[in-house]
Amino acid sequence: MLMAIGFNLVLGVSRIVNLAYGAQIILTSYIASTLLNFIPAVVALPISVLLSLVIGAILWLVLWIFRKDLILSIVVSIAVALLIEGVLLKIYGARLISLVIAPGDIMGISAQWIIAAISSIASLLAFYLMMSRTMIGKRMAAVAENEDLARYMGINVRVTSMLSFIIASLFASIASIAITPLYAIYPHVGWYYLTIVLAVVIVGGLGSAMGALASSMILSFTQSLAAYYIGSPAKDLIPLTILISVLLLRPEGIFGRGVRWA
Amino acid sequence: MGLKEISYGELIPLAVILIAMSVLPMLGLSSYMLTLLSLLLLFGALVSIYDFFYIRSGYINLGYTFIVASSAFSIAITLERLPTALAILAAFPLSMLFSIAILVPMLKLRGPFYSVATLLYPFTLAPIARLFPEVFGGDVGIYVRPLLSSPTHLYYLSLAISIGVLSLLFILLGTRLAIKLAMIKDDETLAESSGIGVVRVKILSHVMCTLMVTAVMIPYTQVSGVASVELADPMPVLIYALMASALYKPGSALYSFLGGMGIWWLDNFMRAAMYDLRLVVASSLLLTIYAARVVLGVAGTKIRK
Repeated sequence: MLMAIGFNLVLGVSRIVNLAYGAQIILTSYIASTLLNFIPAVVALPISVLLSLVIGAILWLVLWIFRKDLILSIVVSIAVALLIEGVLLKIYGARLISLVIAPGDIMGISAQWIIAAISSIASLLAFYLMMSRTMIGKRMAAVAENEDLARYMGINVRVTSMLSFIIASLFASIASIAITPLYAIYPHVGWYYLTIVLAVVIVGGLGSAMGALASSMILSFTQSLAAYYIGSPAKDLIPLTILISVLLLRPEGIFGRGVRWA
Repeated sequence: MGLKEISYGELIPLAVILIAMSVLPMLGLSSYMLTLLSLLLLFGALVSIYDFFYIRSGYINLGYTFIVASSAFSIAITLERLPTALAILAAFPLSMLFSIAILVPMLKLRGPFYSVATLLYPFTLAPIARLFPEVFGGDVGIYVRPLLSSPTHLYYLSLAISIGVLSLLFILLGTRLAIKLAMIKDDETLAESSGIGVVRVKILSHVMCTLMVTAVMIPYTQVSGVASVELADPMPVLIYALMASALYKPGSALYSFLGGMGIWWLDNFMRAAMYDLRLVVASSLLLTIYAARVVLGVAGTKIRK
């Protein structure tokens, strides 16, 4: 959910389809995993988030240059994703890594799960407050609504776009740190996360935060049901099945407003 | 349009290369080298097909490897169950059946939305293969029944199919389909209001693309000996197709064929000499090529008018 909202934010505000988002997610995990070998988690995790934000800002700069041609920016973001994957493969190899942040149980529930849930809910709440109560949020909404008009109103579109990218990177980092203790990762797994994000975003409606929220719940619920009743491999097929159904019946997505590209 | 887009003069180097390649087996090349050259030719053909049908129409299909892998599976599945001639014939409708999944978003979506939606397809093949291991062979894939035992025969089959595909693409370059695809790329709404049956063109081009890919995958699966989900991975087919298409005259099929062969050769070198840096080099090359197009003012995948 967090990842999908981050992806949607960049798409809505910056009009950038960032297909390197999956790679960004796993990059934070690798940075955190490396730092944890040398420093305690309290220091390592914030530093890895900060580093990811810096990388996110650099990525924004690259994709901003190519933004005028959307197809071009898509190809470039794929190239960046491959570059990140290639660098991780070179440094770490194809082995699985995992983070242990909070071992043990709390009332029979894994502490890692509780941390993941709390951090996701807190991030979503903070995002909601930012979008509804702060000037930054209003500027983002204005740029997403009409970029030219926002520019005439004196809003710095470039800075707003960069901020949206940094917030999306922050969400990617939080999601990454929350997920890595639960599922081991390897360099190629970024594509898997990307497919989940894309399915959520398309089903929910491009650029719609509410759509991302609803579709992530629909997808995860149906995935769990499929895994239970049919078998584990079936759960990976659910996003595509739902995606095709939505594309057939409502191409703009469940909560999609406009039909910008549909 | 048509062959004017690619002058006869430009065809000469390609003809020379293909003639030279047709005499190569007579020079006593090893079986390994013949296998490599067969794959080189077939890879060039796969890239040209992508270039013509998707880059030309502006429908950047990021699920192209889904068509490639499902065609390979179709051939392997039919060869496993049917006599040879019938199996080859049956492979075409079967691969069409798979690729309808890609056609659905193509009819409904445009531009980046289409690209993003199609990117999901290749990643679903692995779970499908795991869910139905008796059909798709799980993660390992399925063994393809050999039809030709001699590498020289396989090489000539690959050469013949590559030449066939290229010839067909050149013929198509001179038809109204090529013009219509370019018009759809420029402005789909305008093309529709000009009386072009956009849906019909999309269906026709998709069907032709799938049939041609299936034809290419017949010798490809014979050379590789296996049809597996690995083929659905964006690297190398999709990434190198995007790279080769952007080198020169996107949508013309000729340069992407040559570029595709060159890039595949480079990839083969990287696999042997610097495997762990392969992704870094490939992605850097892709970035450089597209950045160069921006710098040179020929950004995107615009077709030369």
